[in-house]
Amino acid sequence: MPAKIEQLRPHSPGGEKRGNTSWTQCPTCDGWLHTTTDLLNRGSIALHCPHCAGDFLPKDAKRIVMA
Amino acid sequence: MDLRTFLADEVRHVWRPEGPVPLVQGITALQQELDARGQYPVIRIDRPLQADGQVNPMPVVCNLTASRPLTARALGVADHRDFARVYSTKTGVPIPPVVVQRSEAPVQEIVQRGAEVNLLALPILTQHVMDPGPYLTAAHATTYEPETGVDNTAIQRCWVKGPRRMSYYPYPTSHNIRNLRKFWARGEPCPVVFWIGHHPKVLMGSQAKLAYPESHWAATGGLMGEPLRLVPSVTFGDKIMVPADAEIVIEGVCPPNLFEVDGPFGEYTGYMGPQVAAPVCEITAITRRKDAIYHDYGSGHADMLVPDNMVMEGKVYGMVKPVSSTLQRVHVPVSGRRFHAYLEFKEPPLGEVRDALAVCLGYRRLKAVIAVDNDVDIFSDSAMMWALATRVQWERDAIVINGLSGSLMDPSLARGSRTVEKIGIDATLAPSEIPGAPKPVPPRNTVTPEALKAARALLDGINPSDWPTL
Repeated sequence: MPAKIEQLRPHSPGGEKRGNTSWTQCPTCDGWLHTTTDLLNRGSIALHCPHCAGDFLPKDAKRIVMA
Repeated sequence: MDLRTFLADEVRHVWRPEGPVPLVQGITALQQELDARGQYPVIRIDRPLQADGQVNPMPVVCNLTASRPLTARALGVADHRDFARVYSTKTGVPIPPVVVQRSEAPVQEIVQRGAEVNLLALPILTQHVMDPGPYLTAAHATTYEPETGVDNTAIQRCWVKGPRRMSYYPYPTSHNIRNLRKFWARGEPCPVVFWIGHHPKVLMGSQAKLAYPESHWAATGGLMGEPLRLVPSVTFGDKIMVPADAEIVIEGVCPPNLFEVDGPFGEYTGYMGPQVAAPVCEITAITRRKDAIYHDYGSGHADMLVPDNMVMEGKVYGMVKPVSSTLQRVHVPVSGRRFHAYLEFKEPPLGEVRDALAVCLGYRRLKAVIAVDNDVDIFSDSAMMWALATRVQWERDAIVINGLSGSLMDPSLARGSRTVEKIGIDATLAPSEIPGAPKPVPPRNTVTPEALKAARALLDGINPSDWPTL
């Protein structure tokens, strides 16, 4: 996993919208792809970048923004 | 600027059936079928066929403003989707009217008073099954507030019952009924004039949703970009002015507390409005052009809904923009009659969409308001349904308020209820939370602009005769 996972705020009450989608940044091309948190948490399955077609493990991601 | 200049400008979009078309349901049937086909030409009937089998010599026009693009063009707006902003801006900069001599007023080329008056000589339509008789539907009723003299104008239905008598139904919350009651409280009959036929800028400018009392003439001038030409009415003089370049003016008085039955009448809701007690109007004079053209709005059809809803768009824009600066566009869709409004926002900050929804729910006519981001086409009902399906959690995103004023013509009202339950729905996506990272929402399915351009070129080059039969 990268040094720091950026964790988004939890669901809020009172009508404030907060999204449900986690994003990971490709270490090769800097492109972003959205993933399930389950996939990220498994850690051992390589992610596939839809922009450059490169594969990388979550620990090698440039950034992870976790919803 | 008048009806004739509009018809000349749009001559390529005017359909003129050659044969006679019945005034009783025949013209309205054409509108109903054209609505179903999604076709909105201006319709001019040169040989309107009366119920007695005679052709009335006065032509009838309708569908003047049934098409959004045509209506926007007539009002000098290049893209109909920008109408709300332009209408709100222009009517907010009023231009006072000018008064012309009677000799310069085409609408007073012919003046009929007293026994000369015959409403039944006009080619007035009976539109729908169960309409009890001929109704004026494009009659712009102008009254004035007796203390200030400030005019008010609204389109309100009139059932023509005899040569000099009709019922006149100003909606119970309208500004005209307020004026009427003020005259009656003094024990006086209420003067009223009904003017028919003008350029769409005048028709729609005079429908600006204003405070009370506030003159509609100056707002109309704002939309026109020039002063509206007025002339004193022949019955009431300068107490009530009428547009000098209109086609027809009907003048009369509503005696105090004199009511008669009115309706049922095919209403904007798509249902027959109930029979009601309505003031009686006794006609004192009719003035008109020598070659007057009679204008009719197809009630409940695009003909009437489109211009009315576009005016509402201007009203909503003017209400919301001061509290929600990220508002881009407004659409009051024909599919929702007058009850729905769609709002488009561009990157609204937290809370601003709900501020806008709260403002809109205070507008009497609206019952449901849906806000979306600017990647959703608010002029597509299908796109709006997609936004509702994928961007809304009902409890979190809906604001429901009951006990608000609304339309009593809504068939869904609870029995005995005199107020309405309304909903505002925030169908925008969640905002960004971390600078430099995508919004925490999934990206849309799409193709590249290059691929789309190539697809369009391929489809545009198809010979229709080679297209598969579906």
